[in-house]
Amino acid sequence: MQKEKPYKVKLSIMPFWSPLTPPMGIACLKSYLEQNGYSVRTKDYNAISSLFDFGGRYIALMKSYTPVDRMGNIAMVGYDVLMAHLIAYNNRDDFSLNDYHELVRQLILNNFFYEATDEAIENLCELVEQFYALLAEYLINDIKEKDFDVYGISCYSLTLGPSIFAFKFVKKYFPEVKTVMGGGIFADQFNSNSLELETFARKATYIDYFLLGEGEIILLNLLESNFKNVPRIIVSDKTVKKVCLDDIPLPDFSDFDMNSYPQLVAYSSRSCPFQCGFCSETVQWGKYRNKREEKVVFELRSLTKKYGKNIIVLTDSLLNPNIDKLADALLEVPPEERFYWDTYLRVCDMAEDMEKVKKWRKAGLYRVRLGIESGSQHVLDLMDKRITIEKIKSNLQNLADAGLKISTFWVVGFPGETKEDFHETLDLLREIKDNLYEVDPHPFYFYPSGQVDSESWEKIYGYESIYEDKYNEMLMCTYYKLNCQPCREEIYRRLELFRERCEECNIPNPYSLIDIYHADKRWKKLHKAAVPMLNDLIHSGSAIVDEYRDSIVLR
Amino acid sequence: MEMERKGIIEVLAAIFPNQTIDIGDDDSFIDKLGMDSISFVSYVIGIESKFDIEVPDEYSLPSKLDTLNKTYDLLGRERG
Ligand code: B12
Ligand code: SF4
Repeated sequence: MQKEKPYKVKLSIMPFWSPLTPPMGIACLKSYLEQNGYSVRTKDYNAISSLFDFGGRYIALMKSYTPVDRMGNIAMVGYDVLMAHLIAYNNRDDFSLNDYHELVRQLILNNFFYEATDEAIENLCELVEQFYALLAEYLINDIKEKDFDVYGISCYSLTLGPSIFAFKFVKKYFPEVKTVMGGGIFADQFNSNSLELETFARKATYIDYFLLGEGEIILLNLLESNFKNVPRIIVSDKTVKKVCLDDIPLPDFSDFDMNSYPQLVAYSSRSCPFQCGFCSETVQWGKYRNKREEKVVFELRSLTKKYGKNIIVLTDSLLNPNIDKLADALLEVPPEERFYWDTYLRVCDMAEDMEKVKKWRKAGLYRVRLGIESGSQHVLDLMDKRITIEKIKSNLQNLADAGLKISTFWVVGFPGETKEDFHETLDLLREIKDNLYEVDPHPFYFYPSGQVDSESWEKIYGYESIYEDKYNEMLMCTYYKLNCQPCREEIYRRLELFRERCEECNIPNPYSLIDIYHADKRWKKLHKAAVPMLNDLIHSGSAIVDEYRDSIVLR
Repeated sequence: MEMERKGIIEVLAAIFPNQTIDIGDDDSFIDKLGMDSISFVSYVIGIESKFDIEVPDEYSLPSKLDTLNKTYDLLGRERG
């Protein structure tokens, strides 16, 4: 038995990060630190419906003011506005009310390209105010006992505003507590080489330490150092040992109410062996590593047994390198214990082979999340994506024939994407609509560092801030755009055309569980072999009906 | 209204079998019954099949359909 260590640690994640699965990052840190003798409590504020609901209410309110032809992908871009608004709220006292309102107007203007009315802005601000009042109530309740010495938050770009609020709050009442920020936000926006991180760290005096990248070892080292002689920004870079995935304990979900999450979560690898230009996975995780298949299978079986759930989201950046071996190992799981898994995959040669796809399906593959990115070969080549349109089509056909749900991600307005390129994307959508379970388009985002191609874009095109300096101060960081074609307004116009095409083709982009329910109904109608609906999986316990899976006979 | 109330209570009772559904017209299912995003989906599906309607998108947030009164409004709207 380890001797108990001097620090008690509290780790949280703030809204708005959909509670589709329990948060993996802090569950991994909890088990790792506890194995090393620390006592750790974790909390997910997204699991509190009344708090999380505010995100949807904000989007619904914004939708009610947005002209139909400016809507774009509001379910997603709306969160970009909300995210920035939530950050600015924390700093509004340092500016005039007029500046604060003007910033919200600018956010809407630069994301939806229309001038919002005073009434719209006041009502959106009022909602944000209500959200923070409720968050404060929950925070007081959670910290009043002061049963911790170190307060950490796992932060994504979408959760930055409420994370700032919580850090400030904790520091105000307990200045002696050490505050630590980690999480996916450091993959791109606050990458270790970025000016953004430096600027943010300078302003965020209530955050004592910033831990970038894989967190287990650097957080443990920080605690073991007793906070003596350590820099404020610590990076898990090449000089830091990486954890051996076979040796670390299972993530610990024991503090979460697992009934509030429809799916479980696990992983079999970290990082990715590819290097697509716009992506930051390899920047975040470094060298690609995976677990032994037996360990993964053991974990998946233990999780499903322990929590009585039968669907697991794999958080691997990409499963292609392991999928086939993993499927072989999962075929050995006894039928009464069977479950489903959901993963990121890349268009590949393996999926050209229907026998392989059927094997994955038989082994429980449920949904694939594929980065299609564009329907133009020219753009795919610019991205160094190393896939062809023909292969996209044939992969999708096989996956859909096996009834797998196919979620696809698209980048609109990649630097150099011409009108013709974009129209090829629209044409492709129409052509393959019945093989698309879900389509999630994103405008191209640029970060001066943190993407594989950041530096070369910077050299070729140059870039500028989207907002004026005054607003960047309020947002505590700068959001940039490249000086290239398509320009920002054109990117968002294309996003709108993209949405219209999806609407015309009846291809959904489900975000909430209820959207997923409707999307599942459509998928079932389109594909005889369709996997069970998520809602049925959630409520069926071990009695899952899946005739197609049962009927597959492998050669 | 009585028929509707009875139908809604039946839907709720199936979702929360261990609770007595003693609920006022404006009581929130979230506060009173602990409705979360998962049970909310069951609620929408239950209402759709019980009353043979399609719940439109704008009701897809728990806070938009978390009381008897809000559900009566929806039924009134969808059933004309
Ligand atoms: C699974 C996944 C999803 C799933 C599930 C998300 C969910 N809501 O549960 C889906 C497909 C739905 C999804 C959606 C999106 N995702 Co996503 N997703 C991931 C993915 C692949 C895995 C996340 C994960 O659990 N990783 C495993 C855990 C162990 O890693 P971790 O949380 O980062 O934690 C480690 C470290 O960061 C650190 N750490 C974490 N917290 C803390 C705290 C402290 C105090 C310390 C010291 C350290 C520390 O230690 C941990 C262990 O090493 C990551 C990429 C990746 N491979 O991580 C992207 C990622 C998190 N997603 C990302 C994005 C942008 C999105 C979307 C916004 C995309 C979009 N535009 O629609 C949406 C929004 C989702 C939402 N509204 O909730 C970005 C976030 C970048 C950012 N700047 O915030 C990431 C990093 C991908 C990327 N590189 O671009 N996503
Ligand atoms: S986009 Fe996918 S395949 Fe490309 S580097 Fe990122 S995770 Fe790997």
